[in-house]
Amino acid sequence: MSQDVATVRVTRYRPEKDGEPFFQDYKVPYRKDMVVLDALNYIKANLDGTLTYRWSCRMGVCGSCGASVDGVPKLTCASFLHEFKGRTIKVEPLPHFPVIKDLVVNMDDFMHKLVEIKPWIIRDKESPPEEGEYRQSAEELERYQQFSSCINCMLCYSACPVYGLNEKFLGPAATALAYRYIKDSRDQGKDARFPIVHEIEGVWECTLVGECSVVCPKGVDPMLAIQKTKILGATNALKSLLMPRGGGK
Amino acid sequence: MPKVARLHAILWGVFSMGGFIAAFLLPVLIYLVGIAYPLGLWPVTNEDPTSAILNHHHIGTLFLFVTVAGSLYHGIFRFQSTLTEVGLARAKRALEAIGYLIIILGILATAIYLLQYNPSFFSLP
Repeated sequence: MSQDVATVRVTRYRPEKDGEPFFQDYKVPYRKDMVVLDALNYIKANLDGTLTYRWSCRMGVCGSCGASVDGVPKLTCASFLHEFKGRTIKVEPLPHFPVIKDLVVNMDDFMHKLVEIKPWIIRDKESPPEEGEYRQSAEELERYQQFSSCINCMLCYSACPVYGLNEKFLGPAATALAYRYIKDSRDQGKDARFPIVHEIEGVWECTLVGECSVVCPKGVDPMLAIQKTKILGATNALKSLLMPRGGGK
Repeated sequence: MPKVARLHAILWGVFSMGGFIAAFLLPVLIYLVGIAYPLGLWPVTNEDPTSAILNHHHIGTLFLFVTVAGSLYHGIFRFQSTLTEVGLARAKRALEAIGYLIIILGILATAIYLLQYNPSFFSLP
């Protein structure tokens, strides 16, 4: 199989040595089936062992290899090198996150938000296993299924200009996951999640740019989840105004 | 402990309703007043569209008020979002205040015009 050569321009940043991030170019021979992650692996194995980046599954499942590829947040394992033929491919760390080293970003903020929205099924009272499963119909599953495909890759946060301006904003993935559990017929944790998603820096900060849904590699539509969560919030607020004795539950 | 932003939620609901109005009712109004009437497509004889809307039923007055006020409120809310998106954090409050002043004046002017045109609006069923 014939091989072309790609010029891959990677952000380098070693906080203990460098004052500022800088770009470094590498020449990488590639075949048609090679992706940007393969190029990074080639660089690390053959050209520069100090290059640092995250990856794991190489098949769009683990969500750890996200980076800004040619200015767009993408999974590097899903970005083919041949798509950039004749151009220098710029690979940068995901925007809106502090950089730890090279392409590795600090995900602590997202991790805190993820825990905050309680991404697990909450029951008022757990039934013992011998009482059987919590059954769910196909229709009930459909209400939240697409939102359960989130792989926490954080591309949506990188694409979101609102998160870039205000890191307190709960953001797309956390809201999509909160909505996934809010709509799950087995879950009884709405009272625990509503104050988080409906606080001022929950869903209300979203200005409906929609880039989160554009860049999602798993076809999740976080913008839809945010809009639906807003509708729930507005309906509940109106109910609590009209029926102060428990109408807004 | 985070607190539900109820007022913001209600205001968002009004904005959302304003969006619906701006998308569905405003084009109808623009068609009637800006296209059908000048081109002679208006179905009611010897009446301009505003008179035709206002003269026959109070629902016409309500339609005009809701369309103008809803669209204006939707506009200012969207304007706020745009200020956030372009990162005008410092000037945001001042620009928001000017925007709100304009839409409040616009809504008041619409209400005053409609009540002057149709003073019996609140007295009739």
